[in-house]
Amino acid sequence: MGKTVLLDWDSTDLRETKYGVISIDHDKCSGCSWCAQVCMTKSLEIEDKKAKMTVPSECIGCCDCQAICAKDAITLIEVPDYPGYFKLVERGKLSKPRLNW
Amino acid sequence: MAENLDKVVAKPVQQADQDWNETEKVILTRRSVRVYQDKQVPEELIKRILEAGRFAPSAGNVQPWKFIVVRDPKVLNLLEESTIGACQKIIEMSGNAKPPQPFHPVPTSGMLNIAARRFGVLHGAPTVILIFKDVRGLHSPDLDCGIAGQNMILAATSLGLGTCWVNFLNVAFEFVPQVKEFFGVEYPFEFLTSFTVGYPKGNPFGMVERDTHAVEWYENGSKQVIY
Repeated sequence: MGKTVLLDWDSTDLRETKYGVISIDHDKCSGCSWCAQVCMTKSLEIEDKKAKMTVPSECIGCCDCQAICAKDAITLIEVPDYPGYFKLVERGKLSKPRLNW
Repeated sequence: MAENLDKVVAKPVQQADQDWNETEKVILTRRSVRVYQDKQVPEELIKRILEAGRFAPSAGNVQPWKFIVVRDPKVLNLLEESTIGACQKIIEMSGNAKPPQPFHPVPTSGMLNIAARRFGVLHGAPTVILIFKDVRGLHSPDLDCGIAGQNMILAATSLGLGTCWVNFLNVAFEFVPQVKEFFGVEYPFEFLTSFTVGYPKGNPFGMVERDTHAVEWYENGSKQVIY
C-alpha cells in the first residue's frame, strides 16, 4: 500500500462516501437478528430468515455485527472511507488480532 | 552493601507465544455496546471501575479529571432529551446552508438520526459516567482524561459489562444552559466526554477485523515499514 495524496478541500464532494461492506455467509446465518439489533447505522435487515445489508447502507465498519454473531457468519471485507472529509492513508489489509506477526 | 539492582527482576517477562493473556483478551475483544439489558449495575462494580480511573497515569500526576456518575433515570432523561433537543435545533437553524468545509459524515448523520430519534444517545444504559477535565492540567488534560476513561472502560469490560463512549453529550453541555446549571459545571472544570455502562444484551465481545496501519521501524541502521 503506497502513500495516498491527501484531499484538497475545495475539489472534494461532501457526499462522496464509501461505506463499509460485510459479507454474510448465508449457510451459517440462522436469521437470529442479533446483528441487525446491534448495528448502530441500521445497515442490516433480516429477509427470508437471513441477514442482509440494506441498500443503501451506512456501514461504518465497526464490526459489532461480526462480534455478536454466534454463528461466525459475518466478515468485514471493505472498510468505509470518506474522501470528502477524511481519506484513509497508509493502511494495510484487514486483519483480526495477530499473535506472532 | 547495596543490592545490585540490575540483577533484580520483579517478574519474569512472558514470552510472546501460545495465547493472549487475560489483559490482552479484554483489550482485543472489547466492543462498543449499544444494546443494554434493563438491569442496573451494582454500585460496587461502578466503584471498582472508578478506582481503575483513579489510578490512571497523568501528566505531572496532576489527575485533571472529575467523574460524575449518573444512575437516576430522571437525570439520564434530562441528558438524553437535551441532546436530542439541541440536535434538532442545530439542524433546524442550519437549514440547507452549505458548510464552509466538508463535515465528517458519521457525526453529521449521527446528529440527523438523533434529531429524528432513530439513534439513541445513551442507548438505554442504566449508568453513565461523565468525565470533566480540569483545564489547568498539564500538557493535555484531554489526553489524561482519555487515559483514565480507557482504564475504566477496560476494567468494566473485564467485569463483563458493556460500555460505549458517548461524545454527543457535548452538544447538551454546550447549547443547553440548564444541563450545565444542573451539574454546576464551573471553572476549572469543563465537560469532556462520557461513557455508558450496563449489562449487554447477547454476547457482544469478540475479535474482529480491523485495518492494519503502517508502522515505521528503525533498527540496525535501517528503516522498515510494517503493517
